[in-house]
Amino acid sequence: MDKEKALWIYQKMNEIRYFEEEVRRTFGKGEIPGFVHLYAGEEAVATGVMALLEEEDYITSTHRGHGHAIAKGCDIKGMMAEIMGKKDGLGRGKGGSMHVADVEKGMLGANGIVGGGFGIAAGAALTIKTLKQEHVAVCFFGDGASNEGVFHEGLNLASILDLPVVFVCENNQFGEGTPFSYASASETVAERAVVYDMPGVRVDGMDVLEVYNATKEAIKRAKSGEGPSLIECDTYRHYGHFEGDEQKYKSDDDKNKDRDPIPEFKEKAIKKGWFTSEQADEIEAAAEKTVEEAVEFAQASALPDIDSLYEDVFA
Amino acid sequence: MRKISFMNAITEGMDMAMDHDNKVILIGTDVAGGAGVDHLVQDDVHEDAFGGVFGLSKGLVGKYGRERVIDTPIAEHGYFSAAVGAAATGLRPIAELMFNDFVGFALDPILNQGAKMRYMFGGKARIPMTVRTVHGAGVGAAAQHSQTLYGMFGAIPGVKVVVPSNPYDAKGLMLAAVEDDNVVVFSEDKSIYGIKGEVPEEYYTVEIGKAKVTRKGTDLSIVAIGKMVHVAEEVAEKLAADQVSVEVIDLRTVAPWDEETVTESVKKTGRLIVVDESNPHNNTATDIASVVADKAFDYLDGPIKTVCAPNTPVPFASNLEQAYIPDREKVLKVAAELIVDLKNTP
Amino acid sequence: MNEKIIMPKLGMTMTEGTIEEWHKEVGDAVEKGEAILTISSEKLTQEVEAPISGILLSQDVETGDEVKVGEVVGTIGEVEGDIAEANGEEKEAVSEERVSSKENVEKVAKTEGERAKAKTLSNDRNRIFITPLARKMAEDKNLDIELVRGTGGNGRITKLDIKRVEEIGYDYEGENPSEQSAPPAMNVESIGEGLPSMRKIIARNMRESLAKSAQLTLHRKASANMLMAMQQKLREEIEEAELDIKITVTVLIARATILALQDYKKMNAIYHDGELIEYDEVHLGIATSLDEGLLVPVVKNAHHKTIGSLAKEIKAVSTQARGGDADVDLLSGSTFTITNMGATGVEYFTPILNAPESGILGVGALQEEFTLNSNQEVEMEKKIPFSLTFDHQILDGADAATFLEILIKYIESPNLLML
Repeated sequence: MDKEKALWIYQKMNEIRYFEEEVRRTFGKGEIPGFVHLYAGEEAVATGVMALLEEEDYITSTHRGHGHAIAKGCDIKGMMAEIMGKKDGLGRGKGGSMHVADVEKGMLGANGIVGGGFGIAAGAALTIKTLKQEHVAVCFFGDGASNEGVFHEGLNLASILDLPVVFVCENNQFGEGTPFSYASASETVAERAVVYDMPGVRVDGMDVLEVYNATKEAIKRAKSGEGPSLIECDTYRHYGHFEGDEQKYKSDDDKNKDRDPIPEFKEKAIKKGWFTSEQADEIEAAAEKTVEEAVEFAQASALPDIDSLYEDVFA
Repeated sequence: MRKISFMNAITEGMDMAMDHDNKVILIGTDVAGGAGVDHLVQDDVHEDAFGGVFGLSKGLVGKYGRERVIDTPIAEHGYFSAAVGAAATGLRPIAELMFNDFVGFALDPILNQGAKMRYMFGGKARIPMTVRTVHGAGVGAAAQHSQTLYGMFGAIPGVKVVVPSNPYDAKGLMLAAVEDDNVVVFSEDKSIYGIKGEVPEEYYTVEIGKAKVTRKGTDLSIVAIGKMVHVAEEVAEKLAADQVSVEVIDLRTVAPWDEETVTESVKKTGRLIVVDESNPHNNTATDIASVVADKAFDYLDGPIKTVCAPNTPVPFASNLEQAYIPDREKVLKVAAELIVDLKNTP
Repeated sequence: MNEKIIMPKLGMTMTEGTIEEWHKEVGDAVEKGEAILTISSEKLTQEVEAPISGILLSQDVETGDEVKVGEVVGTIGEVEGDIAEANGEEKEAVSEERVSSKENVEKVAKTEGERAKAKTLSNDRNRIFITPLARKMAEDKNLDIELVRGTGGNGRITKLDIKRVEEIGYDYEGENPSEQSAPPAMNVESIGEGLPSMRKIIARNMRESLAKSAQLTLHRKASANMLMAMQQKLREEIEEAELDIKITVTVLIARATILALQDYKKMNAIYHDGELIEYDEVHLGIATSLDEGLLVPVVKNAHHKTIGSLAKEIKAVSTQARGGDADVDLLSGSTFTITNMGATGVEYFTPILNAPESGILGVGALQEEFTLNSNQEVEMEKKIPFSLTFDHQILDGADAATFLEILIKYIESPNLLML
């Protein structure tokens, strides 16, 4: 990893964290309609993967998608406005937290349907393959989605068609409130890759470097036409399934409970000489400011015009 | 002009669409057939390849290759999602749902993904995807392979639904569906695959959202969908003998259906029967009836009637199946009350 | 300044009035107090006077329109220049509140008083099935759908039926329709055309009465010697007691009639809309002539009244009717009517039923005849000629004769009137 990538990762990690903390506060104040699923705690996965993607690469995301969107380059102001249901949101206020997207940035959408992304990512990879492009599609999904039937359909299809797709499982230990250990017959998600004839690796999802290295391998494979890969990232969400979740199902014994990927990476990066403590402070301050500005922007943005209710149903 | 069958017109439509634009792909179970069967794929001829269970896509894989005519596992959720993803990223897939009854496995990609992405993403996505599927009773395929479900697709905002009744429309609507930048369900009645009609050899489209008055009349409007257009024509013939002049409207597009053509006709005739092979409630016929009752109320010279299948699954035994499908006699029976005054007047 | 002309309330129960005639055109000069239009409610007509002097700026409603009480029907302005202003302002509000003729009919029906209450109108039986298109066509062409036969499914009237009626006329006009429940056998609109408004209403009522019932009149005289003697005695005693009551022969005949009706309820009956209802109560109509025509004010619950209170009441209702301030309540709800032509010298006549009543008693001029008494001596006897018209649809001659018999018993044994 070079210094530039390390700085980018640290910046995006902080932007995500400040963003989610701010969303949490704003939600608490009642300024956000509906509900929000926070990504805080899982920043190493989004940033470790996205550090290797270009704008032309595609991702599909989940209901817990803010981190993926920020790391994929979506406009943070537009995201905050969208989450508040404002006119200047990425989706003109019509999608909200669960549908944050920017197709032009290769972000094919957070998704309110658990497992919604498997086929879509495979389809994006099909486009890449059919049009003979040098890109890759990444499908983020949770441990919960791994038990949907379409997980198997998506992986199988991608595999038989040798599609350039990377399936990235964020195993945060719980599907909503049900532990993965209960919901899955297999001990890991990664081991299921073998039946679909693709590499499956399980990495420490709190360690951005592990995520980064595994993704690098998978992308290389995808771009060389060898087909998909599956990466399972062992992680943990700091907050509940959604804001307001009492999280009674959590316990002190939970794996990764006391870890935080951001200071872990900071310490390692400083030790490796990728950036200094002072640089880290600057990045943190800048990230905080970026998010503050996004909130100001979103709060100042108007509600959508009523006429927009009827727009964009059809192209 | 040459006459070709309904099914060949569909094949020709898909063929021309693929020829016209190399971003058009065909994806589905056995749409090519023979993938992975060595003796079928040799020399890239694929002559004996399946080409779909009804053979509608036969020949296309030989012409466009397996990169564009893609056999999938029997996994509708997966490959329909993939079609949505491909459509969102630049391809124009024609995804085949072999029988519309299998929609349960394919619904999420249509209902929650394809139909909603553009709206949720603030207009930034385009999903130019055609869903080819098959509906209709009459071939002894029983309850899970015979239902008529286009109305269900038509109830989803963001989805267009076309139902051709004849070879000309089949080709023109197929080409229009593929050209369209939205999810368009193209629903075929399998029991009329063999009917023949004049079809131009060149590329042409039939406008989506536009119904066609196939027979002019002054006393009674019959709006019909797909195969039911032929039933409506038979009814019109029979009633013409009784000096009752029937106007037949081929709806052609179920969603969004052509309110203007239908209401204008009813304003002229004052009477309406809608013939739809769907089950009788929450369907296209009832939707048309409610809209006409609202928009043309002061022009109505009798109650609006619908003739639909009964509220049952499609039965297997042939006599039961015939009893299920709306036909000339059923429509005439319903029409009788509506036109009694016309018949009484010399 | 402009002054609005509003639909006046002619009586307690009046809710709508009909514009009978405009006497002034827009632009005409009007004097304060001058009649500018005639309006009518169910049985009343009245001139509406100009509230101020000026120019009639607008007629917001047309002849024949039904207008709610209190609504603006026109505007008078002091200067001509206000015409446009007046036209622009109020018209919309007026037309919005104006009720359709159907609603109006229903509302009038509701205010019909006692009679309406006693009736159990069956809506279903009278319901006309008609398609939306045919209804609209009928409205546009001002056709009465009650006179149209429906040939569509479920007997509904369709476009073809309306077209046929347009070409060859109403199906039920001039006939006695058997299937339908008695639609009026005439085009009510055209009756009385060109007549003054009160005459127009009388014309309609008379024509309708004759059209809807089978009228037959019986004549019979009653000896009035005892009655006259009684009247004389009562007068003297009342005078002595210094009471303000005038007992006329009409009052005594009315009392006799009331008792007879209570004894013989078949005559105290209403036949309307296919329903026959006999009444226990007697609401007695008293035909009262005016210069412009005839009104029938009603003495309500006449069977509860003594001769004295009956005398007072008859006087009161007649005066009220003659005074022109009669309202719907005063003029409706009678179950039987008395019409007295005694003052004109006429002996016998054939009164027309006050529809939908079943009987009307005509009283002729008092006669003096020589008769043989029980001792075969010639005697002069006072006699009152009665003309009883009844509806032969529901009563026979024998019924009417029985009633007359009872009536005459009371006339000839007048002490019974005290009971």
